[in-house]
Amino acid sequence: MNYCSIYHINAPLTEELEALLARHPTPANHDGMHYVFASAVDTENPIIIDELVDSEGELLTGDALAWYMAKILATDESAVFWASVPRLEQLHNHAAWRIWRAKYDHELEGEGRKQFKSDWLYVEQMIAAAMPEAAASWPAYSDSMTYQQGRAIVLSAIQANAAG
Amino acid sequence: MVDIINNPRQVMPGSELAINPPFAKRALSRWFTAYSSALNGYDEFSTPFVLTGDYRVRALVYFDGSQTVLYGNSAFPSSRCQVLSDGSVNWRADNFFVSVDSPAATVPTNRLSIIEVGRVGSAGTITVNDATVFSGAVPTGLCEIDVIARQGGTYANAELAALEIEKAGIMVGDFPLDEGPGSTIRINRAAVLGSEFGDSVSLVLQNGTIRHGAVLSASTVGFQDIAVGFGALPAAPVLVNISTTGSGSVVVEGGGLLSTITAGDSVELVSGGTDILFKGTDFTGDIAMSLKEIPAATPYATRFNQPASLTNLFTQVSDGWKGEELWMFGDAIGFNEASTFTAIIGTSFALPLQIGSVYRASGNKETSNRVELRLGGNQVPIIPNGEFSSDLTISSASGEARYRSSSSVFVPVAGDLTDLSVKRFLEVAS
Repeated sequence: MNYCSIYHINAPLTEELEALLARHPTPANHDGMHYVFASAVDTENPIIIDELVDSEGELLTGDALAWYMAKILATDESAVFWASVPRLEQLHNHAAWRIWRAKYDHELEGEGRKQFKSDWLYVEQMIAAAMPEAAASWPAYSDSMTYQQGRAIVLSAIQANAAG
Repeated sequence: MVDIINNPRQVMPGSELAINPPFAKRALSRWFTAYSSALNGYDEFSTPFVLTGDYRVRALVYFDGSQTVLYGNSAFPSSRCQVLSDGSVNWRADNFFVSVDSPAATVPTNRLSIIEVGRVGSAGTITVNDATVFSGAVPTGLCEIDVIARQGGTYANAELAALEIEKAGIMVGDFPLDEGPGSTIRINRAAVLGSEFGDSVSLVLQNGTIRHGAVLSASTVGFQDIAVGFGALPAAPVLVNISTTGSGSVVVEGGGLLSTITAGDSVELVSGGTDILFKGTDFTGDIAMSLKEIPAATPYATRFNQPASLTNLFTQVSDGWKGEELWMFGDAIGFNEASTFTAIIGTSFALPLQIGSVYRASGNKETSNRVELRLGGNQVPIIPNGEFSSDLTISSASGEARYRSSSSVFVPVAGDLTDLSVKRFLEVAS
């Protein structure tokens, strides 16, 4: 399978990363912190997103996958991810990722606030249903909340609950 | 002497384009690329199209309900056209931040649509599938377009299949976007090329040894420069056309692109400032090569962040385009208990599906038992016996086909579904 790859912008400049930067001189960088390359180069111990399974052997998808990814993205600058494009698209469209990117108005032409509120409430429900340990880190939505504040909150919520 | 790839389409501003777009006149198969917003996939012109006065841009795009940028400017979000998630067309006719919009739901979801914007004086029109959906005043300033499927930091998330740019009645940009996954550039079919750069050259490569005048090298391992007769290549971009006769294959390197050309085939690429290199161990025959300058007024496009897996070959059918076979099962597909979705025997694949895309399942059903085929999070009933063809819109990337009897009344029958085929499907808007 053809995989894409994700590196932290401060990841060690390995030969593999150099090769990717030469191959893709303008990689995606949606959050200011991670490069997303349109291909992968063999490296040691990549985290293959399409093959992640839970303790029962079921493939990780949806919220569980997004939450797992978020914990690593927020805490480990040396992690290298591989993913198929559909998996990347799935994660790219997740509410928590959009809050972290904090680029609502730019991309949605004035619909940004509506989308931001919807995303905030979605993550709130996701935490209540499946990640109660993070509930204390997630304040209620407020119209006065800025996108940058939302970005900071989602990061602190993930980092506070990264263990386990 | 001026060489022309395609005849420029001399049409008057305000009239219809003289010919149908490329997708309508080309062969029965073509490449489609799914530009990915997650990967920032886009194409960039070698020089921007600078449009003053009257102009017209037409695109063929598969809109899947997510924001889809057709073209724009990479430096700032102006001079752009996009389809918003509500199905409206949003157009900025010049470099300033003034938009006009068509009504919501103008562009049908999960269909291939032709979207056209045009400016004559200050009169602007937006047309979708030949229906005018906006007509009114638009800004008349300078419009600079330098990217496809992108504007500023926003990227498309859909298939774009053709883009045509007409300036004062002259076609200056004709991009079928029909290049295969190995191509790093997209040729402008409206390009008015310069003269042959040096002489066209015909070379003979025999078992890896290049012969043109003198033998350059007997090596069959490394790349060899056969751009003799051209002198140093110009720094300006040149369109390189290479064709071969004989037998075997040869690998060509130019413009950052590696291509394998089978004898009897040809390839086009863009280069500039670097020589064109070849190597081959089993090739015997002639290599003809010509290089012609690409003027800035008719630029080519370079592809960025488009993995090979997102460019796929599609074949035309009566109502759209069908992709390559994803799964094909001959017969004896196992059955299951009623009302419980069970994986079809032999479908233990892990191929992710494109969420939001339509897939067409077809095959034969041997009995009248009603069954449901489930794929990527959705299911579709398959009721009659005989040949069937059903479309599913995918909501989950999980690529596992399942099916069930839809009622406990019907007794499952082994081998009921045969010749099951699943392909990606792009339906043309009616």
